[in-house]
Formats: sequence, C-alpha cells, structure tokens
Amino acid sequence: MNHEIRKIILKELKIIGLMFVLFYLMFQIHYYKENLFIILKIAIAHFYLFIIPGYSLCLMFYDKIERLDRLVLGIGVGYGLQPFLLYAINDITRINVMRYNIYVSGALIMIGVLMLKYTILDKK
Amino acid sequence: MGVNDTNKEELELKFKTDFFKKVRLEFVLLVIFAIILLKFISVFDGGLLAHPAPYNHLAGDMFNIGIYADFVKYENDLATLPFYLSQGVKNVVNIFSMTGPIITAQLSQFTGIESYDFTMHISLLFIILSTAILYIFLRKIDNKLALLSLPLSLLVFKWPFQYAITWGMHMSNVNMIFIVVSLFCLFYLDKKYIFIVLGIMNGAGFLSHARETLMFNTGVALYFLVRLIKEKILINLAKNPASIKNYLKENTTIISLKNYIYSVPVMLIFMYRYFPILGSFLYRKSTTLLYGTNQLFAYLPQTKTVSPNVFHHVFFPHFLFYQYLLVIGLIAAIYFLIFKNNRTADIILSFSIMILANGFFSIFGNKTAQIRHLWPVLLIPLVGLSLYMLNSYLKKATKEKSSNLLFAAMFLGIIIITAIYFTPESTSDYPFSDPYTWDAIKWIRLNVENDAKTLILFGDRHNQETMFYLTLKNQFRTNRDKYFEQISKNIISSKVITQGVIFGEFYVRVNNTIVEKDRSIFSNVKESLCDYNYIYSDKYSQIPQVQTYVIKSLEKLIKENNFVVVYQNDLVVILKNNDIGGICFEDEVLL
Repeated sequence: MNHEIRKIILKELKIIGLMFVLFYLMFQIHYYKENLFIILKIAIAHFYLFIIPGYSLCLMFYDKIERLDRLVLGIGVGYGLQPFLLYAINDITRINVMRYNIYVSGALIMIGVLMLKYTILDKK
Repeated sequence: MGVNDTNKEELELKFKTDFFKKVRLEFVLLVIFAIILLKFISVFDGGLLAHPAPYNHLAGDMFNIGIYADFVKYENDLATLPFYLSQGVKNVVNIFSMTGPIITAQLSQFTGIESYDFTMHISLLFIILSTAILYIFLRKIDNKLALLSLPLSLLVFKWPFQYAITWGMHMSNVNMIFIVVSLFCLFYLDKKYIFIVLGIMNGAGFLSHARETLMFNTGVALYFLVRLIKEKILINLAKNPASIKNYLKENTTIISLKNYIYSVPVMLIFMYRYFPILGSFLYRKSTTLLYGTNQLFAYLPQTKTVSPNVFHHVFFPHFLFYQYLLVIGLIAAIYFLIFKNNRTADIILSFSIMILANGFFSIFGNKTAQIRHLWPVLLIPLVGLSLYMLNSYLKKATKEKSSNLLFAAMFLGIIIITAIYFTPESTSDYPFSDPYTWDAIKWIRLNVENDAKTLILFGDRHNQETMFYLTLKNQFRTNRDKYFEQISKNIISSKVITQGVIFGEFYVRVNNTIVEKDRSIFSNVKESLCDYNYIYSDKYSQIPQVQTYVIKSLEKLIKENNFVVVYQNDLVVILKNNDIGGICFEDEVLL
C-alpha cells in the first residue's frame, strides 16, 4: 500500500520537477539581470505555496485524469484555494496570514497525499 | 509468427517514427514561439524582478495591488480596511478582491522583494500560463489547431491590449487562469468529485474579478444548451419525463449538468464575505457608454461618429489582419456548434463565442468591456480554427504533399508577421513613481505616526494618487483643479481644498449590519496647511508658475509657522508641523 503510494508520488514528482525546471529557466531568461538566488526563491515560492499543494490535492484523480490535465487543475486549485483558506482562517483568528501561510500550504500537500491513500484504498 | 504479425510490427514502427517527427516539429515550433514570447515580454521589467521603485506602473490601478498586498503583509484583520485606506473611519468593510493581493503578499514575503514588483510579475506569468493552458486544451482537438492558435496571444503585449498589464488589470489577469482551468473542469465534469474543483475555480474567480467568471458561465450556459439540443435531450424529456433517471446514470451532458449544479454551493462558500453587499454591484452604472453611443451595446468598429476615440480602448481594427481571422473563426465556430458533434470543441467554442459577445455588453456593470484587452488570449481558439481551416484547404490544394512543411511554413509566417506588426515598444520606466518618490514614501512609512495626517501638495506626476496609499499612513491630497485656480490668482494662501482616498465603495459595519456611506464627505474640504502634521511636496515642476508657488508656500511655512524640514532628497521635501492647528500665514500676493 505505502509502496504503491510512494511509486505514484515518485512518478508525479517527475512532472513537477520538469515544470519547476521550466519555470526556473523562464524566470532566469526573463529576469536575466537578477540575482540567481532570488530567481530560485521565486520559483520555489510559486511551487511550494501554490502549485504543489494544488497538484497534491488533485492526486485523488490520478486514475481518472491524465497527468498533464491534473497539473493544469492543480495549478488552478493551488492559486485559488490557498489564498481563500488564508483569508478564511484570518477571518476567524485575526492572525496575520504571513504567520501561517507556509503551514497551510504544507497541510494541503499532506491532505492531498492522504486523499490519494484513501482513493487507492477505496479502489481496492 | 506469420506475415500478418510482421506487417503489424512494421506499421507500429512507422507510426512511432511519424509520431516522433510530429513531436519534434511541435517542440521546435513551440521553442520558436517561446523565443518570440520572451522577446515580447522583455519590455516590461528591464530584466529585473526587484526595482528601486514601482516600475512601469502606468496608472493608479497598478498601485492598488501593491497597496493591498502590503495590507495583507502587515495587518491582522483582512475583513476591515486599515485606517490609511478608510481615512481613519473605523469598521469599514473591505470589499476589494483579495486573491491577487494575498498571492502577491506571500511571494513578496518569501523573496524579500517589495510587493509592487509582483504586480507585473503575476500579470505576465498568469497571462502566459493561461495561454499555455488553453493550448493544452486545444491539443485535445488537434495539435495543429492548438499551435496555430498561439500567435494571436502575442498581441496582448502590444498597445492598446497591453493596458491589461501596465494599467492595472491585474485582478482580471489573475482570474483568467481560473476561467481557463474551469474549461478542463467542464471537460471532466462527468467524473466523480470534479464539481469540487469547478466550485473552487468559480469561487476563486469571483474573489479575483467576478465579471470574467460571470462571462465564463454564460459560455457554460451556451455549451449546455447546445448539448441538450444536439442530443435531443430536451425533446425526449418533454415526451418522457421519467427518462431523466436513465439520463442521470448514462448521459454525460446530464451528469455534467448535475455536477455543475453541485459546484454552486462550493462556489458560494468562497463568496460568504460578499453576500451582504452583493446587491449593490448589480445596479452600478456602466462605463461602456464610453465605447459607443448606445447604453447597452459597445460598438466594435472605431469610427469618429459612433465611437469616441478613447486612446486605450480596443476595437477590431487594432487586431489588423487578425480581425478577419476572428470573424471567419466566429462563423466557423457557430457552424461547428450547430452542425458538428464534438463535445470538446463545443466547450471551447461556446466559451470563445460568449467571451467575444460579452465584450459588447455592459450588463455585468462597470468596465465590462475591458475584457477586450484580454481577447488576444481568450479568443485564440477562434483564430486557431480559421487558420486550421486555411491549412486544411491548402493541404488539399497541394494534394497533401509535405503537409508538415506547409504547416510549419504557415506557423512561422504568421509568427513573423505578428512580430513585425505587434512587437511592443519599451514604455516609460517610472511614469509616476520613481526612486526619489519611493524613498520618501518609505520614510513616511517608517517615521510618521499612525494618527498623523499628511498632506501631499500638487506635483506634476501626482495625478495617480493611489501611489501615495503606499505610505500606509493617513494622507490627503490637494485638489488639482482647485489648486490650479489658486495658483492662477497669484495669491499664496494657507487654505487648500483637499481630498481623501478615492476608492468608490464605502461600507461601514454598524451593530452587525452593513451601511453604505458616501465617501465624498472627504472630498473638497477646505482646510489650512497648518492643520496637517506633515506636508509632502515635490521641489520641482515643469510648470514654472507651480514651482514658484509651491516653493514660496513651503518657505512661508518654515519662516512664519512652526514647520521644519524632516526629510528631503533631490526631488521631494517633507515638512513637519510642530504647532498643529495653529494660526497659519496670511494670504500674500505673489509678485
């Protein structure tokens, strides 16, 4: 079971890695005068905060939707859901969103993996 | 092992070789497109992400995102406007679309770069991502159609379309990604749980910029209508209502429609904050009048009699030769919708037709016709369709010999023509804000007390007042016309007509209910310069009369009143008042 999840995640990480390289290259060419470290940080920010959480949540469709389309859905979910959750949590707690945004993204990634696990269990 | 098996293997080998050839050609053409794209977008930020001041911000709306992103970064309550955006009034409800600012604030925090630098970054990134997503969707229909669609998207970087990037349509640009991802949700809507993703996309769209989401949903309505008619579902249901049970189990359109309805509650969860004030947006006066003489229709052809020439508006002639491809594409799309039975094509063509149609109407309120600035991205399927048809026609005419070569030549030809006619020119680096102004704004941020009032005197480039909201302090500005009147009289006066923040909507929460208030109560108030804690002014003006007047006023404040210079650089000077509310200098005739 865990082996199966690991296998799926490793496969999925390949497309994420490819996308990351593409993003990084695009930023590097466009911001050619910018510090390399800043370019790396901005690419990591996009991926960690939005794209990976969104993609992770869409893992539940791993056997229904092809990978590239899941990536597209994941991009939408990441940029759409994460900011809304931050806003909603702020509405309840009145805590500055900058203090918990990275944890929310981390939690979304974890939830995505758990949902994948339950999808596989459900299938079996 | 027979003869048949060998043939099959050979066929497979042939197929694979052909496939790799195609993939390689597609890859090469995509790389060429990417090079042109990178060249086009290079004019927007001078090769840098971080700039010493808001860069290429050509209008006040550009500054809004940076302001609200800083609001997200520094404040604890996002539902209530901070004092510097509400002129000190408490409990003012924040109704600004917050998705873009929250994304911007996080990127700014993560990289340590100022928020304003991400306004351009996000606009460009989201436009490119949206184009790529549409391309991936169009590949489901045909690879060649998808590739031929791409060149039109380059127009978005050329004036007047680039208004979307440099004049502050940031929220629409953010929303664009949600509406193009929604197309994929429609494609998979018969699958279990996809309605949740569609709900998230629609909800995020409403929080980003509701109008485009409404427009997308008119496309969804057309798609379902077309499918229901084509599959004769409506007729069958009218004859036999009990057949709905079978449809709900087996028919993709009905299952999709059911799931679309399921997505609505998910979307409503996103909108929970906006329910109390939703009604007020529906009767907002439209500005589409500026596009034409008719209140409902915004005329497309730009003529002197019908459409007043507002320089940043988009009309069909701005598309040059693409306008004819758009018209042909539109006719072909309508033909396909009626006579062909391709679900994927129905989704994307319904969407494009309705996005085009919505550019003529003002039913969704203020500035609806601004969608035209994003037509180069959102209408790529129409141009792709007409070019694809042209390619098919040429292929037949040449008897299908070397069709890939023909296709590549056609793609490259269009890219080259687009590059010749639509390469954007570099714009002014710092049209309003510059490093001196930004340095002064930062000084105010760090040194001015929260309860202090700062007056911004008239400056040549101060007409985009939102730039001063970046001070994150309570600030007022002199009314430009009234100030000019005063200067023309040649009398230096300590009395000035001032105005506060200009954001239109103003809702205050009073005892758990929300009351709408008129923000104009802060406008055109006659006040004394000595009522302010700080006076901010440019030292130079291109109008000599203004410069003399301003400098004399500042000198009088220092000599005759209790003002001292607390900050200055080559352009800006800031005075501090040590006797707030004291008696100010008397009027003096300027010789």
